[in-house]
Amino acid sequence: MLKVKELSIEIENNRILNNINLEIRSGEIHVLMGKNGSGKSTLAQTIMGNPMCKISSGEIYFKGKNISDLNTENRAKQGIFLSFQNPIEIPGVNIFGYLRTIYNQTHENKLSPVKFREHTKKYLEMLDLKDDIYNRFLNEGFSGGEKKKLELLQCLVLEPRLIILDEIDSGLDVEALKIIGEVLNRIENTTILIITHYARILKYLSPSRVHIMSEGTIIKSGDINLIDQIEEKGFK
Amino acid sequence: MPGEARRGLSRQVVEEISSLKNEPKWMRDYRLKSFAYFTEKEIPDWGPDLSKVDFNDICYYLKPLDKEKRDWNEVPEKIKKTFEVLGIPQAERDYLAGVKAQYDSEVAYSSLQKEAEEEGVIFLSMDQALKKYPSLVQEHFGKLIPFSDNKFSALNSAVWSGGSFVYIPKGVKVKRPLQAYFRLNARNMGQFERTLIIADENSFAHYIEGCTAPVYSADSLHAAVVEVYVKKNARLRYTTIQNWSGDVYNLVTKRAGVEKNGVMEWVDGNLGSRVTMKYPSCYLIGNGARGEMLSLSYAGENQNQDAGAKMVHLAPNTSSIIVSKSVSQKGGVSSYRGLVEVSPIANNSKSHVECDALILDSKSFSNTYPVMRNNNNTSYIEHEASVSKVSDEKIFYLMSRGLSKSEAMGLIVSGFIEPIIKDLPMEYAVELNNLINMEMEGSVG
Amino acid sequence: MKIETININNNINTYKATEDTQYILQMDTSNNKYKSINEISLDFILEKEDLNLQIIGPMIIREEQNIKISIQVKHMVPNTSCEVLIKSVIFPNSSLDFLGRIYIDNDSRNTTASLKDNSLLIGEGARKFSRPVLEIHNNDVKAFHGSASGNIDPLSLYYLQSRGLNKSQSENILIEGFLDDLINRINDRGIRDKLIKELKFKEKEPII
Repeated sequence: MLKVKELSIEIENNRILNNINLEIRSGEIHVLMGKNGSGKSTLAQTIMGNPMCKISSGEIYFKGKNISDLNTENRAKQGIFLSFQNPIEIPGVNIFGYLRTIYNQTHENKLSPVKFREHTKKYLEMLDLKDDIYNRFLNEGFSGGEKKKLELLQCLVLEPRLIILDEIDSGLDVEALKIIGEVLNRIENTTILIITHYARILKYLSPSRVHIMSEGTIIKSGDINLIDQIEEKGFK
Repeated sequence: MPGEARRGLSRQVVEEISSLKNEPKWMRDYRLKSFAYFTEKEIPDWGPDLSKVDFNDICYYLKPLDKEKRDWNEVPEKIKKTFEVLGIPQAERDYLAGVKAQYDSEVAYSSLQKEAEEEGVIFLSMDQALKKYPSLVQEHFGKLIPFSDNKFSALNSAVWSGGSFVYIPKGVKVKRPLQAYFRLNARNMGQFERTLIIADENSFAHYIEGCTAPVYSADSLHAAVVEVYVKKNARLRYTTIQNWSGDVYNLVTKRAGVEKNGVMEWVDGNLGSRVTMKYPSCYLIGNGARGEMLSLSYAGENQNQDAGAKMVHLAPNTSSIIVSKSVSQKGGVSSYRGLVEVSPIANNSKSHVECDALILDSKSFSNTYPVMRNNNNTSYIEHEASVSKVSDEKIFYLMSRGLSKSEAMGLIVSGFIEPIIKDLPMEYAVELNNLINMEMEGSVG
Repeated sequence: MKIETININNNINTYKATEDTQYILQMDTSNNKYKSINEISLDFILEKEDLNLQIIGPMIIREEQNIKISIQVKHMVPNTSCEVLIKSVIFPNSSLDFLGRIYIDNDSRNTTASLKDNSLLIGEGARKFSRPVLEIHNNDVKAFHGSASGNIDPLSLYYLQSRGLNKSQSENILIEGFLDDLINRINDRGIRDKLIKELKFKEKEPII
C-alpha cells in the first residue's frame, strides 16, 4: 500500500528526515514511536504532501504509484488520510456543509443534504457525537478531544485506504480514547499508521509492526514486543 | 431641451430638473441652495483619489429610455461568466448588462407596492412621495443629512432623482422585506437616488436594495443620499449589496437618527465600483438607542473600497457595534474608516468595533483608520482590528481532505465573511458565496 | 534584548534600531510638564532584517494635563516584528490623544506587528481619543491592533470593597493591577522598580 524509499526531507534548508525506509502492506497496522522532535509528524506531513517538506532524495509510492510529485489534494483523492496532531481552526466554515463537500469531492455518487445526513448518522453514533455539531464551525472553539473526534469523523466520511493518525491519543480523556479506539477497530479493510509517543491507543489495536524514530531516522523496527521494551527502557 | 442627453451641471440644469418634475417651490429652492454649496465646496483631501471625476462630463438627468445602451458583444467576458455562475435568466442579463434600457419591472414592482400597502406601509418612489405626501416629506427631507454635510450630499441635494420613500406606521411590523430592487427595478436605479425612510414608533421593517449580480452602469458617478428615521422603540434594518460594474465612483452618504430604545441595523456589501466611499452612520439621540453596522467589502483588480461606519453616542445607555470584514486581491485596496464618538452626556454607553481584513496576494493593500473619542468616563469603547493572509496551514489542511487549492481558498474566505453573510437573506448569501468561489478560481497561482 | 528608555518630551524623535530592542517610554511627571497640550511624536523604523522591537508605555495622566502622542512603527524590510503596548490611566479633566500607526511596506514580507492601547478613565472629565491605524501593503503579515477605554470594572470594585477596602483603596489596587502586567514585561529590574515606585499609588494621596 505505502512504500517510502530512502526518503530524505528538508524543511527550510534543515535536514529533518534522513534516509527513511518504510513499507506498509494493505490491511496492516504499523506504529511509529519516538521522542518529541524525532521527526514522526514530519514524516506524516510529507506523506500527505505538505509543501513545506521538500524531498531532497528518495520517493514515496502509494498503491504502486510514485506520488512524490503529486499534490496534496490528489493524494487525498487517491485515498490517503492524515489526522492532524493539531487540527486547524477555520472560522465560519459550517461543519455539515464542509463534510458533505469533501464527501462529494471524493465519491462518484453525490449525496443530497438529506441523504448525507442519513448516511453520517451512524458515524455520529460511533463517535458519541450529537448532531448539533453540524451547526458549529470547523474546529472553532473545540476542545482537544473534540478536535480529534472531528478528525475521525472526517476520516469516516472520506473512507480512505490509508489512515495516518498523528498523535490521535494526545489530549484525550479515558472515555474519548475508548470511543476512538473502538471506532478504529471497526474500520475494516484499511491500512493504518499510528504515530504516538505513548502507547495508550494500542490497548485497542493490534499492530503488526512497530518502528522507533530518533533524530530523523528509523532506528529500530520490530513486532509488538518492541513496545514492552520501550515501556521499560524508554526510547534508546 | 428636456429629456435630451446633456452633459454638465449649471443652475439652469437644476432649475430644469425641478420644473420637469413639477416640484413645489421649497424643493426647487433647496436644490438651488445645494447647487451653490456644491460649486464652492472642495473635493475631500482624504480617501481615494477622486481627481479623475469630471463633473462637466456627466449627464445629470436622463429619462430611463434615453439611457445609453451597449451591444452584448461589448459586455466583458467576466460579467457574462458571473451571470452564468449566478444562474441569471437571459432576459435579466440583457438588462443588467446595459444591453436593454428597461426591464419590464412594472408588474413586479407594483405587486410589491400592493403588498406593502396592505400592511399600511407607504412605499413609493421619492418623486411620487413628494407629490402625494408633501408635508411628511418636507418635515424630514434634508434634516438628517443637510446639503452642507459634504460635497456629494450637496450634489445629490441639487440633482436628486429617483430613490424610495418608505413610511412605516406606528406599531406595524412588516413581515416581508421591502425590496427596492432585486435586479428588476428600472425606474429608481440611478445616479443620484434620494431615499427617505421613516420607521414610526414601535415599527419594524427590513429594507433591501441592490443585488449581487454585476449591474452595468454607463454613469461614472453615483452620489446617493439615504436618510433613515428610527423613532421610539422602532427597529429598521437596511441592507445594501452593490456590485456596479464599469468605471463607477460610488459615493454615498447614509445616516440614521435613532430615538429612545430604537435600533438601526446597516448591512452593507460592497463588491463593485471602481471607487466606493461609504460610511453609514447612526446618531444615537435617544436613551437606550442602538446602532449596528455589518460591512463586507471585496476589492479586486483596480478597485478601491473605502468604507466604514460612524456611531455617535449622544444619549445615555446607548450601544453600538461595528463589524467590518474585507477581502482584497489582485491589487485591490480596501480601507476601513470609522468613527465612534461618545459625548460627555452619554453615560453608560458601550461600543464594540471589529475590523478584519484578508489580503490574498502580495499586490493588494488593506488599511484601517478608526477614530475613537471617548468623552465619558462611564462609557466603554473597544476596538480590534487584524490583517492577515490566508495561512498556508489552513490551505494544506483543506487540501488534505481532497479540496483543490482554489476550493480551499473559497471555503476559507466564505468562512471569513460568514458573520456578515448569516444576516443576509438566503438568496444573497448563496449568490455571494458563488461569486467568491468564482473570484478564487481566477486567483490561485 | 537591548533596553532603551525614552523620555517623552516635546520633540519629534526617530529611532532606527540595529538590534532587538525593548523601548520603555517614560513620562516626565515633574512640574506639570504636560499642562499645555504637547505633541509628542515617536517614529520607529525597522530597516534591518530579522529585528524584533517592543515598545512599552505605562502612562499616568492627571492634574488636568492633556497629552497628544503619536507612535509610528514602519516595517520596511522582511522578517521583522514589533509589539507596542500602551496602557494609560487618565484622571479627571485630563486627556490622552493617541495615534498609533503601523505601516508595513510592500517589501516587508513575513512581518508580525501588534499594537495595544488600553486606557482607564477615572472620574468625570477624563477623556481619551484614539486612532490606531494599520496600513498594510503586502499580505505575508500578521497585523493586529486593539484599543479600549473605559472605567474601572464596577464588579471588581465591589468585590474589593466587600473585603473591607474603601473606594479609593480599591481603585488604587485596580489601577496598579492594570499597569502591573505591562510593567512586568519590562526586562530590566532596575527600571521596573523605579517605575513601580513612581507609579505607586499607595504612597500618594488618594486622588479621588
